[in-house]
Amino acid sequence: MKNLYLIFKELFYSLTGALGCFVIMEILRPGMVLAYININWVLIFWLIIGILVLTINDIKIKINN
Amino acid sequence: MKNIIKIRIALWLILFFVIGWLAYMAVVPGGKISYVYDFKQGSYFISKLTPLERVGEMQNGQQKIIGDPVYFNLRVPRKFDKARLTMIYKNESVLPIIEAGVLADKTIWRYYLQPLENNIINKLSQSWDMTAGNGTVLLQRGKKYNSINEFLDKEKNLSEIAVYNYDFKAEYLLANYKSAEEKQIIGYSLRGPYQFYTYLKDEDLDFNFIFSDLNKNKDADPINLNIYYNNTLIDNYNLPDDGIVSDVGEVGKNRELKFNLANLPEGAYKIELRANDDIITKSIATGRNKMAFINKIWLADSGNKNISLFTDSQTINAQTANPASLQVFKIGSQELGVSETYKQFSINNLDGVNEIKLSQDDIILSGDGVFSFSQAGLINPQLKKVDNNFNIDDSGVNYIIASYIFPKKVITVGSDVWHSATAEFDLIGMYQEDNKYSFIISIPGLKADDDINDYIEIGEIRINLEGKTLFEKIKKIF
Repeated sequence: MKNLYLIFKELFYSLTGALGCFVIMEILRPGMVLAYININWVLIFWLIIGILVLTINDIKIKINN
Repeated sequence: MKNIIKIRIALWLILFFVIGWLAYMAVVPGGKISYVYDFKQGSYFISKLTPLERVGEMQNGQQKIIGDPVYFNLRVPRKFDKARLTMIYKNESVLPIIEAGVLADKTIWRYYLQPLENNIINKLSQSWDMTAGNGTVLLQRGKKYNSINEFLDKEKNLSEIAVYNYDFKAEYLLANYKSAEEKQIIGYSLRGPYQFYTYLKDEDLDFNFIFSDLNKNKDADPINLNIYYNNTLIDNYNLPDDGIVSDVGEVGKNRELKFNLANLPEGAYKIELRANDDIITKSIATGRNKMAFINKIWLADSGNKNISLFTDSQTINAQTANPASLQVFKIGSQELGVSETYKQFSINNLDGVNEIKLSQDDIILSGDGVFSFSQAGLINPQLKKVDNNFNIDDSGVNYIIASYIFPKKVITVGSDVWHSATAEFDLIGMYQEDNKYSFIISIPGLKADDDINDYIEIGEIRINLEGKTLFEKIKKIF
């Protein structure tokens, strides 16, 4: 459970970084990212991972208690 | 813990490579890239064909074009110098001409057209003698010349030559030309841009234009007047906007643009007015007696009735946006009715010079020839063109010279024959807005509303772009 939590947490951080970079790139040069990647899907994936991180963390706390 | 660090490094490396790849695709350091629209899924770079009334549904990676013309945009990540458009298509209706073009001038909506398929040339290439080289094709009814250069050097009878997409350098001189005895004034108001031919021999090129501005659109309405001799710009004049840069609809004051050029060689001259549709030419005064408007003339709404024009066009199209200008008018012995606004009405297969008798102005006339307000004023220095009105039997043409690459057969499935045709465009100087170029696919004579089931089917549009490499750009800076 701990490993899964750590993996999802890393994935969440890198997706946050990716989203930030993509938004900055789109602002600097419109179409640079959107031509190849649908940021909506990245955002949805990021949200799912975020929810999973919180859920796993919650389960982890409950198990520890 | 070690594993987590490995995962962390891997994830951030993936992000780094994705960003690097996106930057590479945006910068195109090699200067070459290709974009494809396969009619299966949308393309970010090549837009859908529009308007929707002139295209069919997208089915199985194919789309029908049922009306002329259709447009699409090409979005580019950076500047490119050249575009090579390759279209895979099926022309079951054997439509004579298919051309593609890129928007060169938005003010007058001029597209730089290049051929994709010319079925008249394709058919003649099987029965006439053909010499081809460097993208130029010479067709001879009976073989007389062994090479294209020999033909260009020796053939002087212009009435026997037809051209297609070829700038044939020929001296156009009128044998029985007589100068005008008195100044002529064209008092009919003309709207928007136009081009006309005039002719002079031991005379000055003198013109006096009076313009006014309707101020119906929001943009500035500058006027450019270009003078060409043998397709070379020899002089130009500019008139800035009248100062009312808004759509208030207040008609600006009359403004004058005049010039007088002396010591010019004898020949035909082309005068081009580049202006938007807000500009009204109220009158043109000149000492020249030849004055023929090329392909299109828009008689502005100024209450003129019973207007007479002469044309050598074989096809004439008429259109109006003004309900008061709906009319049935005579062209020679035939009649053409303009019964709806915003709809183009056409008449085909006209012969020789015909008189057009309009009962009312505010009508746009267009055709494949020239229009003049007097029969004596008609002049058309252009050679016969191998277009959709070209009739080889009646033309008296024995030679066709064209800058043309024959389409290639790519797929044959049963009776379905798909062809691939390529057109090359120089993008330098072409109109670009928001990193987009506007393209046109023109199929003259194809109409969506004529109850004839004719169309072409497109399977793929591929555009190969070529520009400076990143290294060349850096080298240019330092």
